[in-house]
Amino acid sequence: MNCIEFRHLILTDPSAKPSEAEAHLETCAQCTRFKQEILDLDSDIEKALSIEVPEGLAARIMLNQSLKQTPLLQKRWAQLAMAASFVVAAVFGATLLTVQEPDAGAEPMLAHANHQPHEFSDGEHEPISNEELEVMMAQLQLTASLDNVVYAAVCPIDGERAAHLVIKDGKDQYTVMLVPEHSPSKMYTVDDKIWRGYISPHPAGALAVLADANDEQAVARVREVTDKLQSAIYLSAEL
Amino acid sequence: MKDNDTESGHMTMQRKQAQYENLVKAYSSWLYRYAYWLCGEKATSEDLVQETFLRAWRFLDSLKDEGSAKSWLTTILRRENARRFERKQLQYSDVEMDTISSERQDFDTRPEVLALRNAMHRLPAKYREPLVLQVLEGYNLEEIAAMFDIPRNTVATRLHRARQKLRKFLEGEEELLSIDELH
Repeated sequence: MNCIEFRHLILTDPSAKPSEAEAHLETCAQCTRFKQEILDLDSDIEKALSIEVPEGLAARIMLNQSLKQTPLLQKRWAQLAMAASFVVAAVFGATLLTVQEPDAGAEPMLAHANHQPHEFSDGEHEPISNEELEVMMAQLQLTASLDNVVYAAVCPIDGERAAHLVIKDGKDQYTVMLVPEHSPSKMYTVDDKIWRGYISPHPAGALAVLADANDEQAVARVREVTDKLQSAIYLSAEL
Repeated sequence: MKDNDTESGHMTMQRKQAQYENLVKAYSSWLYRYAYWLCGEKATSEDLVQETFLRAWRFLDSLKDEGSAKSWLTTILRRENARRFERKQLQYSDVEMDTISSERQDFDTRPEVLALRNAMHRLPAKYREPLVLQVLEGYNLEEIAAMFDIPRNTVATRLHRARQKLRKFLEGEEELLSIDELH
């Protein structure tokens, strides 16, 4: 390899190290200097190219996609909620649910919870960022002061855009849903084979806090967590 | 049976959503930086990235190999930029120096880096694009050639000339034109 060939190679790809090029370097001090100059140039180019990415870009992309998908999802979820509510009613029956008031919105919420991704049952998920949570809750004019939220989405529940969260409190995990427009007159218990918890009135709608019925420790603390969430989620206008 | 179908459909949607979120988290920063060096404007860059991911969502089922996701997204972004370019008939690379300088407060502002950044903006797109892919993300010549659908040797020539032009510009020997008339 001569100097011209070597310099063409280095200008094309400074990181290339074919044996012919390495052999040429051993015999040519000028090309050694030239290569170093180009490596320095590339280092400066990299610095010049490394602009900062605006904060919250990923969250805004997810939000945009979510908003674009909403009409389609609402149709699909309305179908799902209806189908699933029949399943819940048929499988568990009135004796398994102590919630009977229609305004509590129990059946659509439980149907939705039953379709929650199974991945969240392993309890191994990392919390999402506060910013992601903020962006998601803002869609519903809500604010949440919560740590350890591992899943947050705006989901169609009973025809309404509702908040669907999965949170960790200590070692225990809870599924939380807040459905606007529902207004239960009092707190109801949920007690079926899958979920134990409460549906309670909240200034923003109906708040469901559910623990895995097989997780005794989580079930034991579900009332305490419900009380915490009552004051940790609020309408943005209340700020 | 219908319940099984709806549940299966829901899980498919959940998997798609999870896959999509992973792509956004993994590649949105890279795509923003690449978009910026395509169009030279921050606001337009974010629009391009948003459009890219919306299109990616629509065609996510066509992504069979997760390993090729980055190139797939980069190609979508290039096409989105081309569409935008055709629609507006603007020369995005024709960004005035003053505009670039006023946008640089979150950049490395050392004089030599600033000079190089301005030179990069003035470098014709056909030289700038492969250089960004190679230096910023380590794409090799074959990958860039596949992405641009041009021969490998053409990529090599463009990279060679890109570095030559930047060196000469920094040494004050070359006045880089601010539009892509050097094609």
